[in-house]
Amino acid sequence: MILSKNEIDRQVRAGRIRIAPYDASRLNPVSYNYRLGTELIEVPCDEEWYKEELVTAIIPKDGYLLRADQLYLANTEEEIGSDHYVVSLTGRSSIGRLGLFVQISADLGNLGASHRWTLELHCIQPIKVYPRMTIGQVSFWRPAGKSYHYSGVYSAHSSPTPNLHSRLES
Amino acid sequence: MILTGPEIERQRALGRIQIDPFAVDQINPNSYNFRLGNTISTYVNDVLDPRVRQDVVTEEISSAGILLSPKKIYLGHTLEVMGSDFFVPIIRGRSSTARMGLFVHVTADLIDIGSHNQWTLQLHAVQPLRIFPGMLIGQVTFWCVEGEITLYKGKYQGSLGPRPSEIYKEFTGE
Repeated sequence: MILSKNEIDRQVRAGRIRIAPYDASRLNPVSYNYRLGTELIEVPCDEEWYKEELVTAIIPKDGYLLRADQLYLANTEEEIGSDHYVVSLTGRSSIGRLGLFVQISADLGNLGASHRWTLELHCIQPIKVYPRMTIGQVSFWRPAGKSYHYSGVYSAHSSPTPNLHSRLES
Repeated sequence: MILTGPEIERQRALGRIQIDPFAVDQINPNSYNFRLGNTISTYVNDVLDPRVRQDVVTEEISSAGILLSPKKIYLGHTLEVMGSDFFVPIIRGRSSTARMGLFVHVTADLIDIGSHNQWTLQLHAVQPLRIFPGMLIGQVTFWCVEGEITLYKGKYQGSLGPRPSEIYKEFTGE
């Protein structure tokens, strides 16, 4: 079951969903509009990119032009998570209509993870992004069954975080 | 909870799901196959700036189809007007179209409850691909909601044909 606008608001106020900072005017009928953070990483197009030093750029006020042949990692401005509901992070239709992927294939969050989520940005045509623009939406789903909480390698990260598995394994 | 195909048919008969036109043979075990409508839009500009209104060129797709380029975002639409005030729709491609490398949405699969439209499809081909009007291009699933429902009253309500992004109207970046 997906939570409605009113139920998301109720669970945030009850402390069972964390969205920080939270602004009730950003609620949609079945989701919450999150914002883009202010940092961005261009993932190098190199077979051994994971051995390179990654450079984190600050998205300037007048925008950062994304190229179509490139993968970028960014993050959400908000810390989002829940021990009780499963999060699904996607883009907004207003962003999808401009051909910008906000995640690539992996929209499902883990129960118990609460942080600023890394976004995988990829555009079909060049597009400008701006710091703290409303870029995507997160929905919350009630799980069935006994649960345990995420304690994986990405749990402590609040900045855009690259693939840590290839780094750990290399 | 996701509705089964027979439950989608039952809820539609009760008027709690809108799918118009509707054909029983487009029901799957837990989704409904929708068709591609016959108009398509592309942006005039190559570089897109969400702060600025982006003009589009709109054309009819003839029975000979249209060849999609991987370098452009195309806005298509469902032939059907769909929506529900009781269940949340989620759209995706059919596996048969995905196997040809076609995205029917870019990142935004969740449809607001109460949004009744010909839904705009964000079409992206991984490699060049020809598509045809009326083809069965994607599927919609319907999900149960927990909590008191507030219906969608947003800017895309009532859309017929492809609707370009209107993010410039409420741009909230710094």
